Amino acid sequence: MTSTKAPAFAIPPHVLYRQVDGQMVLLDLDSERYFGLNEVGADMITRLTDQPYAAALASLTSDYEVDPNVLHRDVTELVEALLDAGLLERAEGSP
Amino acid sequence: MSRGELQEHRIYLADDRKLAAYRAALAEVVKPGEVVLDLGSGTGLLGYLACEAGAKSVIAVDGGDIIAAAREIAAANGYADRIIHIQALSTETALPTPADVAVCDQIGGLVYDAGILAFYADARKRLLAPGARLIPAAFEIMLAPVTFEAGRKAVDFWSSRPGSIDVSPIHPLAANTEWHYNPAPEDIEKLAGGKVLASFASDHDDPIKGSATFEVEVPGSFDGFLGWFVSRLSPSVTLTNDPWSPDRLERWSNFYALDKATPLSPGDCVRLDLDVRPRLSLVSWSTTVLHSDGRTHRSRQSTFNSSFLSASAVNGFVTDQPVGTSERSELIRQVLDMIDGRRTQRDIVSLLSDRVGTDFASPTHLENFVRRVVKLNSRDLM
Repeated sequence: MTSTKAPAFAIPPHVLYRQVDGQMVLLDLDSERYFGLNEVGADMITRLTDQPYAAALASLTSDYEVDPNVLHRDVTELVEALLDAGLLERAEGSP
Repeated sequence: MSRGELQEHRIYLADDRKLAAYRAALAEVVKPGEVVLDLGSGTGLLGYLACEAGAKSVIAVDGGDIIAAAREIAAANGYADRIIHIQALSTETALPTPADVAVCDQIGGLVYDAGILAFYADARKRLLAPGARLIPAAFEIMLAPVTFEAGRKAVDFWSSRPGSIDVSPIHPLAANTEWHYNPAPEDIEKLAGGKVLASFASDHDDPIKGSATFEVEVPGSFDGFLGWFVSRLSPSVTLTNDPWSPDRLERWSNFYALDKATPLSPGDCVRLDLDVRPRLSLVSWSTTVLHSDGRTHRSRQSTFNSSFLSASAVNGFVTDQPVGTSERSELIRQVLDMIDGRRTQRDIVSLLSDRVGTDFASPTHLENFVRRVVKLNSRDLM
């Protein structure tokens, strides 16, 4: 059974991450490569790994005062890039 | 050279136990007429011992200014014609001839933390003759859960209120820091016997992973793990920084704190999963405490979480983000552009002083800046 209250995404165990001055540094231990996210990207990932998908999108839309379609596209692009890089994984019930 | 560097080299030179161990190992491994590579040579001590053991020549490589002192010491001891000195990191230079033996004491407190693994892995590929022997040849990493008041205090200071100031934002950094201590045996107590977490050759620079479960033998506060190495220098010579060993060398051991002190009793168990990344200079330690009454405590800690404090420091890591430019990087570029084989440092300072205005406290500060950039540019064969 899936829960709609659970975050849709998680940062996998082989990735260490840390917020620094709002930005996020991720270290993929499999490839031993560092990656950086700017403040907006870091905020998106923090919310997506902390809240259900719909709630994360709603709060981002509200806080950034942005067209929901534009935000959805930006979030999708970032999530796909991070999934491809192995820096993010889908949790149960993710879109 | 700083007072601190001199003190560091004095301690290395004055450690009779280390000296005796390397002397015996070199005598055992080096064959007359061979070429020995002394990596991170410092004052050149190990190179002189290699000469004593019969080496035809020694190539001493060190990135620091200490190598100038090493040349003087070599001359004073009659080895000037047998030792070639190269001021560079070994990973950024080539050798005039491949070496038959390499010797290195860049072992730190837990092997990974002073560079020997990366140096030897690279040397094996580029700098050594086929079948060359390494001193040390192999290592064991050992850890034990400990009660260690000094280590605990160093971490928990950051959850106190010195001068009524809340410094607790720093506590997570402190808890993820690797601490270096040289404790007397009476100042630290093992809650369970030390275990080997990993064994590997000295040219291994892949991840080092190991797990162990410790059954608590002595009641006490579980403050964290103490880590030490056993270094096999040669077939019959070993060296360790085990604080409880009567034969230990004068070297710190590494303390990895638990996120919060936890009282333990016999019957409790501690599981440790260690993940060491030599190429990243990074250690992660995951701890699971299983109390005999069924309670558990888990923590996942890593020096990754203590290795930088600000966004500007992130630029020190290789990420996929573009590296930003700064006024300082532009100034460095200007100095490098002025280095043309004809201008002197004085010429460069003079040209630059017209451009920098009041950015530097004094002409001397500008001269020091130029000297540092020129020095970076000129490391080469001495």
